[in-house]
Amino acid sequence: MKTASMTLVACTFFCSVTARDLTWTGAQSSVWDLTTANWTDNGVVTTFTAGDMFRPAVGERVLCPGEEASLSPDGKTLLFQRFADGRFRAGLRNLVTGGETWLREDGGNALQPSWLPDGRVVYTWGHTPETAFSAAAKRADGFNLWLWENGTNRQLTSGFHRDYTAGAASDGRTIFYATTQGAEARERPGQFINASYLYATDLEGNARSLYELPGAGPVGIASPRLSPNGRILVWSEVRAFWDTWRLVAARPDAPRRNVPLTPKTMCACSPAWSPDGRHLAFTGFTPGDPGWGIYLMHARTGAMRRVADGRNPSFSPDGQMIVYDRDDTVYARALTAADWPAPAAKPAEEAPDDLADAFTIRARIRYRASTGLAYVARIAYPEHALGLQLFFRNGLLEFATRQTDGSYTCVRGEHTFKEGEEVEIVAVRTRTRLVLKAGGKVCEHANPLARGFLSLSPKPVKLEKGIGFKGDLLSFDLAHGHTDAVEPPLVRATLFKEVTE
Amino acid sequence: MKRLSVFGAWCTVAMAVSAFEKIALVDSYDFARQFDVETVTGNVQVLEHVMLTGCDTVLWRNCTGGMMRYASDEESCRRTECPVEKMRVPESRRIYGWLRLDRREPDIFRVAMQAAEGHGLKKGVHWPFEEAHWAHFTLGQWNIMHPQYWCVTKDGIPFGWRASLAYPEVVEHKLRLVDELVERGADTIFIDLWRHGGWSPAIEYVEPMKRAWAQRHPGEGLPDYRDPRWSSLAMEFQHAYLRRIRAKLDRAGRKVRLFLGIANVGLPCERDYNVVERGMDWRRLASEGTIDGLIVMCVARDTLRAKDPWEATRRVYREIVEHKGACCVYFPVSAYNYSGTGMPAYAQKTGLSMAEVARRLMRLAADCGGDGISMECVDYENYRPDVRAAIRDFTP
Repeated sequence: MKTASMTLVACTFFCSVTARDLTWTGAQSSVWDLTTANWTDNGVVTTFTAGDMFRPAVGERVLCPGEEASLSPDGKTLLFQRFADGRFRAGLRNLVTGGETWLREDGGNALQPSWLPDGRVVYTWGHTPETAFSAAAKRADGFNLWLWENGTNRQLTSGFHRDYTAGAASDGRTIFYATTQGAEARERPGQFINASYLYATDLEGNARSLYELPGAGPVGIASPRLSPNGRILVWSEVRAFWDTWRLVAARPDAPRRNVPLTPKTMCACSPAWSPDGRHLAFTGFTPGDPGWGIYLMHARTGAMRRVADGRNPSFSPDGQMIVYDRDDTVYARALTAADWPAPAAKPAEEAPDDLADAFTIRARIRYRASTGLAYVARIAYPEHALGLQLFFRNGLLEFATRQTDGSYTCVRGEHTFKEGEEVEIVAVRTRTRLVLKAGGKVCEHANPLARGFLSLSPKPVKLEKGIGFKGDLLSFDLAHGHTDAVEPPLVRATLFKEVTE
Repeated sequence: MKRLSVFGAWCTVAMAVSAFEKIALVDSYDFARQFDVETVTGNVQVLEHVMLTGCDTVLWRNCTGGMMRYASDEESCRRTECPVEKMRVPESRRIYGWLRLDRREPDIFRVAMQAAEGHGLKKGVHWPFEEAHWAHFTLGQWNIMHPQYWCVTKDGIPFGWRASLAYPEVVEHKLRLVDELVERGADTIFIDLWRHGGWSPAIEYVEPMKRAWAQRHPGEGLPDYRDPRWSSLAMEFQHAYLRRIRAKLDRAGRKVRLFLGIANVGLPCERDYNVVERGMDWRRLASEGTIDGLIVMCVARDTLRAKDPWEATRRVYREIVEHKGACCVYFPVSAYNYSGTGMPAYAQKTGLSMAEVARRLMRLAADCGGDGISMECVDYENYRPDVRAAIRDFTP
């Protein structure tokens, strides 16, 4: 009953007020209040006009209703998004006066606002009042990036797709973001196109693709964030239907060569770098947690600690406080020495991929088009008759494997084969990933194989070649082991060593 | 009094049999490139197209994975539009990728129910068991916001695509959704196990299940999910969920039927796909009166591999009717062929036209004691005019 009445209060509150109606009746809000020196360990029950609906935990302080919040570089202003007037709006809250300003007053949803170092703001905005049927005919803009500067808004990206979760480099010149640009072109009959990619743009809107996971999905990236020294790009990524969000890191000049920072047993997203670049805060969940939590991670070693209930963390400019949201409310919490995870003695890595237990197919073909399925090779193992399959499906090359329980995992190549073209193909299957290299393009599916590692005996029981394939198989070799033609998976220690050298 | 109720039950059964109910499963999403399915007009057009089959019942899809196709208070629909929720990877196909089927005005699910009633049809909801339809954009908001109830693999990997029914909070959430559906006019709640979104006892290694296992089998470690004792434990939670729905519907103030969709039927009970993989013993649920109807989504593939697929199908149908108890059973006349046993598969195997296949399947259903047929799913022109005519004209 109590929960129900609180929900009612919350609903009434959010439905009836606008930002200007908000009255801060808790502790005086000021920059001074938000410094750690004046922080108390006792939670303060803070009230807005609707009563004591916000009950922060010990050490927390309520900042305002909203989410996706972060403090300005000078620490005086809070940037946030809030559901108000039936839509999401992005706003600025002056922490001295409590006054608030929306970034824009027109309709639509303004989302995921993020600071540039000079105090400007990049955010996503989209307004799609028409039905999809009508909008498709117009091919108008979808959700795109906008730049806010002293009360004016300028469109950065355009097009009928979705650009979102933007984050600026510390030099303020480059914006990294997730986008569905180009996804529609991957449509195949009867398939969803459920993918997002990593892009970057300058402040003139000159966008470029950085990293596109292969296939139609579900594959996606979100929330790319460059480290303060500009050497490591971190984002959240999901790679398959069975997969869960994980944090992934790479050098910004080589995002395809990336390494997961969080374990498979955790769902992790929305990373934020600490100002000194040593730690990451992120939204995380591990089975057994009471819900979404704010985790702090020592980036180089992977040591981590859960410090609060909530989502969407960001650090204060001095790195001594985190800001995050929970139940449509923005909280701040001072970080104590006990919150910071001590570096682990040894970097946390995935279970090492046993390259000696890999399988490598090397083939050279002369391509001829065929319809339906055309096998370059189909290889049976004692564990499954379709242990390895290399085939064309309607002109696209695919490499697939079956687990002992029949589960199917596949990577689709991106090379466009031309009639009569001779192409070298390398296909590698380790216990944790499939790699397909054809025509110089490398595609990888780092499958979590959620039901356990696939085990295949070293020797096949049957090898069939060229079934339904109209081209020529010029050479073919199947080996048990890895090949230098495909780079082995990157590990955390290697990445961090490279960027510190 | 007892005699009267028996007579009443007999009348109900007799009427159902004589009606030979023709059920159309309808997914308005699939019509999105033909009609503007975000509007009242578009949904009426969908219904009129579906009615060309001669159906007398429509079971309307209420969700895309976990996202309700109406302004569900329970689902917090303000976050369904991508990328408002950044944890949901967007869908990008033309039109499909930009649909908003959860607008408050018009409430298209309510519109569909009202339009069906206006045409004198029975109406209800086709509610897949899944909470994600093999794509990331179909994740429900309640699910995203409550990771503490997610399913978990034995390895401890969270499976964010489904919340476990072993948690009472998840069951309560689903019961509140039932309230919303009934309030919008659904007179049949059809839960379709064929659309399962990857659920199986393999991802039920959640705390309530582990606690229950430890109590039943003290000192024994967690088993493989194929251990029949583990599956039957998972089944208890599944059955309890259906019984809660049954109890809720009994208090609805009007007759609301509970249907269960089963798949790959034709295997012995110990190998029954619905029992082993989906954790639902339809025989038990039928015999105890939890469900009012069984919709057979597809027969096992072996049925079509038999030398005489019609005779093999007849055997399967009779076995189901034998175990259906007091509940009604509906056999497939399915244009969908994902199972490899839809009408196209019969046509390929026998060389008969699709219309003739439809006639034979309906005749089989009636002869074996079925209460009707189900069409999965009636999309735009996937039941061709001659097939529609065959279905329309059929009388048992």
